[in-house]
Parts: sequence; structure tokens; C-alpha cells
Amino acid sequence: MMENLSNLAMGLGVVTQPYNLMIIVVGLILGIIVGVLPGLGGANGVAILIPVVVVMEPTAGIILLSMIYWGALYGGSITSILFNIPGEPWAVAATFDGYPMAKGGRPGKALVLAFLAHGVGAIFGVFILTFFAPILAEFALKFGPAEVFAVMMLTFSAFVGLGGKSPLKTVVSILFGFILAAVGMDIVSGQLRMTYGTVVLMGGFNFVVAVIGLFGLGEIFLTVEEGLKVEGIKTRIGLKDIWDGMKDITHYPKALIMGTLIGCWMGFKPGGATPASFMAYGFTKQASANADEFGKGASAGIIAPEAAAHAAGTSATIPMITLGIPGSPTMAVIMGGLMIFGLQPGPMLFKEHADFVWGFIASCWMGNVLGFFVVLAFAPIFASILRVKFAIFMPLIIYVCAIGAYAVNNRMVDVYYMLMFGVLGYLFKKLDYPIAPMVLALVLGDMAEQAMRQALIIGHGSPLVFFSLPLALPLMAAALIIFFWPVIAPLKAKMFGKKT
Amino acid sequence: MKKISWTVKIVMAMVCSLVLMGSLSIDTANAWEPTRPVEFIIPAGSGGGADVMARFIAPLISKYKLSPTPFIVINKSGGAGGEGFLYVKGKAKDPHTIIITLDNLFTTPLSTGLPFNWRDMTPVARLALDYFNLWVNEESPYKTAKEYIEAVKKEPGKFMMGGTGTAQEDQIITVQMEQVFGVKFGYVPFKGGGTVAVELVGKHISSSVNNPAEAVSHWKAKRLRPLATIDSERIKLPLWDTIPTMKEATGVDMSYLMLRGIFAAPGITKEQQEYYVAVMKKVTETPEWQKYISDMGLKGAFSTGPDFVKWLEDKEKITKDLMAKGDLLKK
Amino acid sequence: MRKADIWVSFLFMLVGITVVVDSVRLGFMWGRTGPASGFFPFYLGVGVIISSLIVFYNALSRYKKEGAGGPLMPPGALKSILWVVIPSTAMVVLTELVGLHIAAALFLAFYMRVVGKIAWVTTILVAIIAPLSLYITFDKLFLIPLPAGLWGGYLLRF
Repeated sequence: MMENLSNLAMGLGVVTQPYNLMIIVVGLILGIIVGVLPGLGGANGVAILIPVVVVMEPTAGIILLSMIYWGALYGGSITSILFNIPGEPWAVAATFDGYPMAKGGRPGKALVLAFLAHGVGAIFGVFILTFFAPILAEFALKFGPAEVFAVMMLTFSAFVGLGGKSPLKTVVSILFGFILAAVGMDIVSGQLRMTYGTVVLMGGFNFVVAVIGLFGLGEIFLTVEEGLKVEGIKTRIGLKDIWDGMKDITHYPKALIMGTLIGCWMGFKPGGATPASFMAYGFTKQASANADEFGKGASAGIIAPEAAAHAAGTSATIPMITLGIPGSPTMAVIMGGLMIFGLQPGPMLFKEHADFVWGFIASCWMGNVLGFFVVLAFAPIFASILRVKFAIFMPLIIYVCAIGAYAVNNRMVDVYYMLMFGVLGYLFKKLDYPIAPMVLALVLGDMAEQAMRQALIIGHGSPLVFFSLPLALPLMAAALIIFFWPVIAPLKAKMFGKKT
Repeated sequence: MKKISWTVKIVMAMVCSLVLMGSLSIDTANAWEPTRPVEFIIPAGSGGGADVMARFIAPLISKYKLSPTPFIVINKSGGAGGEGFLYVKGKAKDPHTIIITLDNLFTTPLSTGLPFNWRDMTPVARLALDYFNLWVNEESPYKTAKEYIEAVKKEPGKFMMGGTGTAQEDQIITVQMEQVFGVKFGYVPFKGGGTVAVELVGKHISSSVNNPAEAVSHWKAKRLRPLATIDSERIKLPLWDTIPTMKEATGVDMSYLMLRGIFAAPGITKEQQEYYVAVMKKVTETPEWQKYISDMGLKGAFSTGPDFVKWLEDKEKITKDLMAKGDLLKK
Repeated sequence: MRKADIWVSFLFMLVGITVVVDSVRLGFMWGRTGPASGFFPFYLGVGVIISSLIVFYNALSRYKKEGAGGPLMPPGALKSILWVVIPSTAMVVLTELVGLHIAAALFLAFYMRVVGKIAWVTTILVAIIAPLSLYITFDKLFLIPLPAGLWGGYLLRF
């Protein structure tokens, strides 16, 4: 512990050098821009800068890359909250309550809440990274395919309560999400599925493209339905918003803690930030006394998923540094950057390049603390976009969405998909098909199916692998209990009723 | 330029050799050069071996001013890379598109039936070859490849080999081992090599055939143990040369090396092809590249022209043969 | 409203059927080492068919009993929505010819001026500055080439 502290102090000494501090601020600003532009996202943003970074000195280079990552994490939720367009998969859950709150006239408060939750989640994540990384790495090793599948089930169970009015339509929505996820290459069998011989379907349906269409365009259609003379939201971000946000975050400690813990756990293995944010939202809603307020701009509904997403974003660095497996696509690219410097991520990194690792960890501290202030400084600029006349602002949004949809995979067909998903999102809203379960199924479908089939191969075809000790069984049991809670709860009440 | 005196020739030769040492670039007046940014396609996702290599090469090209325009790296990973290959195939006669390839150049069309073959593109060069090793967990009782293979022989299908994807190099090597040793593995596909190594550290699988770069750090941390190098010669790098070859370890020779090469769009002119060959040759002569391949445990094996084509033909035949034996071809 | 409900559930049924057809091709049985490639899609498809069939039936019987119900969209909404959908689709189609940035400039100008009745000066300023700055950001600074279409490469040469 003490040794870690002195190492951290050494690292902080490195990152507070004027040159490195400058890189931190520049990196954060770039990251926020990258995060705000939908489709550009963390992974792309970092990949674009790799060529720049290669010519830099390794520590400075990796500081720049990680700052883009932190900046993008902060920036990703800005568009979710203000425009209902998640720039990153993990920012989807932020739209559920963030956008209603912003639309209701409190965009400032919504942003501040999200940033504060981010900050708390991240700093806890960095704390874990600083002191417990090797222990957690050992724990992460225990997660094989069966355990990963159990975690996926737990995530889905968290969403049972999130359906719409008609359970059947919820089922259709979930199944449709899974179907979309299954299109393209099936890595377990190596076969192309449901592509019908076409090249355009070969890459499958990208989650970000679907989400830009379903949420972003769908929302635009819903807005224009009310007529075209919609003016922007008249609002400014004042000190009051910051004050309200701070007050609210202390009012919902449960959401904050739940989000942070789920995020830290899911970040290092096995799901990453996206399932973490969904899971945190689902569980917080289920545990909340006033679940009805969720989806209408509840503070807790912003705090939990945002804290989880950012905590997961931080703890995703743990498996990269300690095991050499990236916890997220962005981490995969950063890892590529490390390898170009001749730094082999994995268990030896701490031993062979301690100065570098501690410089990196120190930069995580600096980045997340400074990131909060930098992004807060940007927030009024973004919020002021909402004041622009709708007839100017709306076509611009569509334009930016088209760029985003294209940039995800450099494919024109994705832009057409985006339009289709926009219409679909509108119809879903109108006909009471819930969108959230479909999105969750689309993002986790692949991962869940792969994990299940890998586990079955390892278990020689026997489903018993999912109930093996020590981890899979309790996870699976928890998932099943939560899944059937609506059935179990009345039973329990009955039994207690008989006894007393 | 036709009447060049002797001294000028010597001076030029000296300049050229300086260039080859990676200090300058030549601007020969009549040679072709890109006039637009070059699209550098990666038929794989971000963060993998091919991706890292392409993103490493692109800035080197700018750094040594090998091209007047930038090389822009673009991932097209859909359908096990098929999307990227078909994209380049469709760019006929466009000299501003190149692609980095790995063995999915052969395996993807064979296993998916996509209408594509490496002859549909212009071969530029082979940059390097990637080794494979046979790995087990450090705590496993098998100290040599011989012991492990014998154990697998006793209980067919019980031992789980983990690998990247299905009907790709890792599974082909597994099939090759099954053929050579008359054994039977269970094969578990994962998304990436890094994941496979970690699954092995976590003992969820019994062995893997990871590339050196994917497993080296776990080896140094004493979590994984290399049993053999899957090639006829040992890896000529410090540390790696302590691992026996398959033949030394088991008495049976076995080799599989993976291509790391560059192709260009079909139908480009000879001059355009030569330009890219020259660029790639210069890239492999930079000190950065030399350090890169030794860090990554690659075999520096630059090859171009008819040699490269011959190698591709042989490799395709071997791959197809092994895939047929493993029942991995598209039906 | 119920008519739309019927149609959408019908569409889902079609999706389900195409999925089931391809799953059968891939093999939908439980193989020696777990499910085959088409196993999940098969049951997903069957599930979609069954649940959307019920949705379809419910909507149809209510339609017969209670009539069409409220309209899907408030009056006049379809026109407003089409004023967004058609120009933006046109932008995407135009992108194939002149590239995204030029198509977007035209789209911006059209929508702002014709639909939004924004002043000429603002319209022209926004329609030039926005695509130009995004072009510089993506194509020049971040080196992400956005679609140039057939002729875009010749139109934007700097």
C-alpha cells in the first residue's frame, strides 16, 4: 500500500510537468470533441491519433491517448442528454432520463449530474486501479465463458422491469434486437448468417448506427410531428444548475454507489461499460421506491448509469495493464499504441516498466479530475446549441448523424440503415414497442450467444457448465431469482402471510 | 538523363544506399507517386495484430517521407475480413487503395464461399511471417510437447484447444496437429488472441497456439509455458530461441507460419505496383521496423515479385488441403 | 393507429419467417458440441412469429370490434415528417453522386430556406460554414475520408 502511494507520487511528479499538463488539457479537449461527434467515438478517436503519438515520447504519448479516452467518456453523454443521440454505446442508458430532464427545461442540471456521477465513478475506479489492480486481475481470470454468460443473464434480468405497456411487444422488441445482433459472421461456426448472399449485410448491424437512428432520428420525427415552428429550449447553465446537481447527487447515494460498484466490477471483466450502464440503470430502478419517475427525468436515472459507465471505463484499464486483454474497443486501440512503443501489456508491465505504468495511473487521476472541470467549461457551449432555431439545428443534427453513421465502419450502407432505424424508432414509439430492450439485446446478443456456445463446447455439450462453482452458479441463481422476481415476490408475501 | 557519367552514377549509388538506410526518399522524376491520400485497408478489427501493424506502418511512411500523400488506415472487418477484400477487389485500377493481409486472405473465402481469391488483387510484398507456439498453463503437468500430445492421444476430444475464430489459422493448426499426431482436440473459438491467452491463464482451456506477441507477457510472468515452436527452425530471437521446435520436442516436423503482407487493388500498372513495393521495402529497412518485429516476435521475411506469388500459391494449396481435412471448407 | 399496428406486426412476422428460413439452411439442431449456427436465430425467428402473430390477432380483433381507433399521427404530422424524411433521404442518395458534404450543404440550404423560412443570409452562411468546417475536421484534420461520391473528389479539391 505504502509502496503504491510512493509510486503514485512519483507518477504524479511526471504528469504535473508543464509539458505533460499541457498534453493532458489538449488531450481532454480533443477527447470531448471526439466523444461529442457521434460515430467518431473513443476507439476511432484514439486510432486516428496513433500516428501522431508514435513519434512522441512513450509516457507523453500514452497520456495523450488516455486523455482522449477520458475526454470521450465525458463527452459521450453530452449528446445523449441534450439531443437524445448517444455518441457511444455506454451513453445509451443516459438518454433514458437525461434527455427527458433536458427537454423538461433542465439541461444544465442533467449535464452537471452526469458529469458529477462520471467523476465519482471514475475516481473510485482509479482508486481501485491504483491499489487493487493485481488482485482484481486474479479475480478476472476466474471468468470463463460460462461465467460471462451468467453475467449476461444477470444484465438481462435487470431489464425485466423496463418493458413497455404490452409484454408481448416487449418480447418482440427483445427478439428483434437479438436477430439484428445475429446478422453477419458467426464467429463460433465461421459461417455467414442471414446475409442472403449480400455483401451489405455481411458486416451486420452496428449498434451505434442503430442507436443513432432509433434514438436520434426517431426523436426528431417525434418532435416535428408537433409542428415545425419549434423553438429551442431557452436555457443557460448557471451556478444554480451546478448547485442543484451537487445537492441531488448527495440525495441519491444508493444510485451512485450501486452504479459505481457495478461499473467497477463489469469494467474489468467481462462485459465492459455498456452492460454496466444498463445493469446499473435497471437495478437502480428496481430498487427505487418511486420507479414510476424513471424515464421522466429522474436524477437517480442519470446518476446510476453514468457512474457505472465511467467507473467501468476506468476499471477497463485493469485487464489491459495487468493481463493484456482490452476491456473495450478503445482499450484495444490504446493497447496497440503500447505495443508500438514496444511495451507489451500484460503481467510483466508493472515489473518491467513500473515508471511508465505509474505515470499512466497518475495521468488517470489527473485526467478524471481535470476532465470534470474542462467538460463543465464546455457544457454551456453545447447547451447553447439548444437555443438555436429548430429549423437550423435539426438539419445540422441529421447531417452530423449521417457523418457518425458512416464513420463507424466507413460504409455508406450504414447511412441508409440509420434512416431506416429512424423510421423504425418513430413507429416503435408510436405503437408502444419499447426500444431499450431491443437495444440491449442488440449490444449483448453476440456476446451472450458466443459465451454460451463456447461454454457448451468446453462442457462437451452439457448445460451443467452454467451451474458450476464457485462463480457461475451464484451468478446464474441471482439472475434467475431477479428474472422471476415478479412471480416470486407475491409467493413470498403469501407464505409470510400464512405464517404470521 | 540518358548520358550519365560514371562519377554521377557512383554518387547516385551512394545517395541511393543512404536512402535505403532510411534517411531520405528518392524522387525519381518519371516514377509513379500517389496524388491522393492512399486508403490503407485492414480486413480486421481495431486492436488486433494486423491493425497494430498497419497503424505502425502508416506513420513510418510519413516520417520517412516515402509518399507525398498520407496513408489513411481504414478498418473493414465485416465477415472475417471479407468486406475489406471485396472492397479492394471492387477498386479495380485505383492505385490509391492497398490492404494489409493475414491468413484470412486464404481462409475467409474458403470457409465462407465469398467470391474472392488473392489473385483478384495485385500482390505487393510479404513483410513478415508470424510464428505460432504451443502453449499450456504453467501449472499443467505437461513439461514437453511429447508428454502433452501423448495425454491428448489417450483421451480424444477431452483436451480443449482455444483459438481465434473458426476455420482460421488457429483451427487450421489444430487440424494440422490432429493429422500429424493422430489425436483429437476439442476446439473453442474466441474473438481475439489476447483473450485466448487469458482463457488459458485462467485454465478454462487446456492449450493454445498463440502467436509469440500474444502470450509473451504471461510466459515471463510464469503463468503460461511454451512447449514448442510450430516451425522447422527455432525463433532466432533472444529468449525465444530456448523453445524447441516441434521436431525437437516430438520427433515429428510440423510448420505453420502466418502471412503479414500487402496487396494493392487489381489492374494497377506495373509502375504503381513497383512504387508500393519500393515503399514497403524501405519500411522494412527502417530501424523502427527492425525493433518492431523483434518486439513482436515476428520473422522478418521480406519477399516480392515472382517469389512472393510462388509462396502464395503454395500456401493457398496447403491451407486448402488442411481445411479440407478438417472439414472446414464451405459446403 | 390499429391499422399501423396490424401492418407492423405483419412486417415482424415476415422478418421472423426470413430468419427461420435461413436458420434451417444453417442447421438449427443441437449439435455434438452445443447448438449449431442457426439454433438461436431459429428460435428467435419462431418467437417473433408467434408473438407478433398474437399482437396481429389482438389488433385485428380490436380493429373489427372498435374500428380503427385514433390516428397514428396527429393531423398534419405526416406532412411535417415527410418534409424531414424525404429531404434527408435525398441527401443520402445525393451523397452517392456529389459526396456527403456537398449533399449536406444542399440539404441544409433547402430545409432552412424552404421549410424553415430562415432568412437568406443565415441560410447561406450556415449551409457553407457547417459543411466546410466538418470537412476540414474530418477529412483534413482527423484523416477520416467521408464519402466523396462519384464526383465529390473533383468538386472538393483542397
